[in-house]
Amino acid sequence: MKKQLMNAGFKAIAPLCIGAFPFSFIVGAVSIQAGMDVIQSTLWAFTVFAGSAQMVALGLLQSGASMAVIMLTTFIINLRHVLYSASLSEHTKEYPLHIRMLMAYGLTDEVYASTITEVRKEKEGRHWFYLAAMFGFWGNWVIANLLGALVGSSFPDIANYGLEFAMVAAFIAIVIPQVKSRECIVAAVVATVSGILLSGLPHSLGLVVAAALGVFAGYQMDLATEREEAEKQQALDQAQQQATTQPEQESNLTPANSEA
Amino acid sequence: MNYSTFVIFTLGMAAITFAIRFCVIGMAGSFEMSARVKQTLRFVPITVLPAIIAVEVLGAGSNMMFTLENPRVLAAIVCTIVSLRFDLVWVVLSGMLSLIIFQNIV
Repeated sequence: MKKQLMNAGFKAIAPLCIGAFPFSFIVGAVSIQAGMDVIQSTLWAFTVFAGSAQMVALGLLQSGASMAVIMLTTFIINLRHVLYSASLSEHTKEYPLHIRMLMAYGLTDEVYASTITEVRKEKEGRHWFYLAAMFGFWGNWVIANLLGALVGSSFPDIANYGLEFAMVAAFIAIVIPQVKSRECIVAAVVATVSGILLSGLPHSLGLVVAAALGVFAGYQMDLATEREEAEKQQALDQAQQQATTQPEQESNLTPANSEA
Repeated sequence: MNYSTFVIFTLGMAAITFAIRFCVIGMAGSFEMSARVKQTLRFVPITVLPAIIAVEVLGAGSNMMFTLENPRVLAAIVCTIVSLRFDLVWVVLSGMLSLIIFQNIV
């Protein structure tokens, strides 16, 4: 059972590893340009494990930004993970603290996307699925970073190979089957349009706002659907009440009519 | 990079990233989420991921390319169609293959 879940976890994350590889490779190469040595770069990737934040932090470091600015930027870029954390918390509450700490440590976009559907099913031992996906992605991230740090300068065009499109394709494959109800469709459309319109905001802040707007739109749609259902139920109840009171009235009228 | 800068840089970023990811999972079980909140949280993956997809496909800010001349837009359309019938592996393969094709013909 445990082995099956772990295999399924590795299988689920594999396509996303292809997408993340060139990104981490580039982060590794840029970290050397920013003044790290290979060991520092690898340790950094192993410890921080946050792609977008790492890339932006290197840019800030090279431009001479202060540590406070780098930390604040890291905070803003990773802010969307609060939503992931909230979304996962309900399905992890029976796990001990050290397991939840480990799960939180590797809660990247890719790990969340590839595991949330399975974790929601609340199957026993689902943490093995999650941890396998997480460690698979973590290992891939660190190895790609190490290779980038070692030989990154030999592959200056790796960003143009289109490998990172695997991540986009995998995200599409994960999202489309979930967007079925009209509430989900509205939430997804609002988030997508907002994401496009707010894409100019610095440090991926547009993603956080877009997701929040999408979730709020979905919440409003839930309320609207519930109101509609309540009104339908009310109309149905009234129709039933009329149907039961009408024969009574007719039966009350019949003797009077016969007397007339 | 000198040792002290590296330690501050690494531990600072790691601590902030972890704190954000752990903030709600850490409290899991110690409070009861209302049914409304649980229901609303189902929107998280279908809002964050499409926003990421849109930015990755179209580009951001002034570099945005919202046109069929963008091979990524065409490849994303292929992925969406394939995902209606097939599972993740096929979507990724068709997406990458179509991107290569569209990059060479568009």
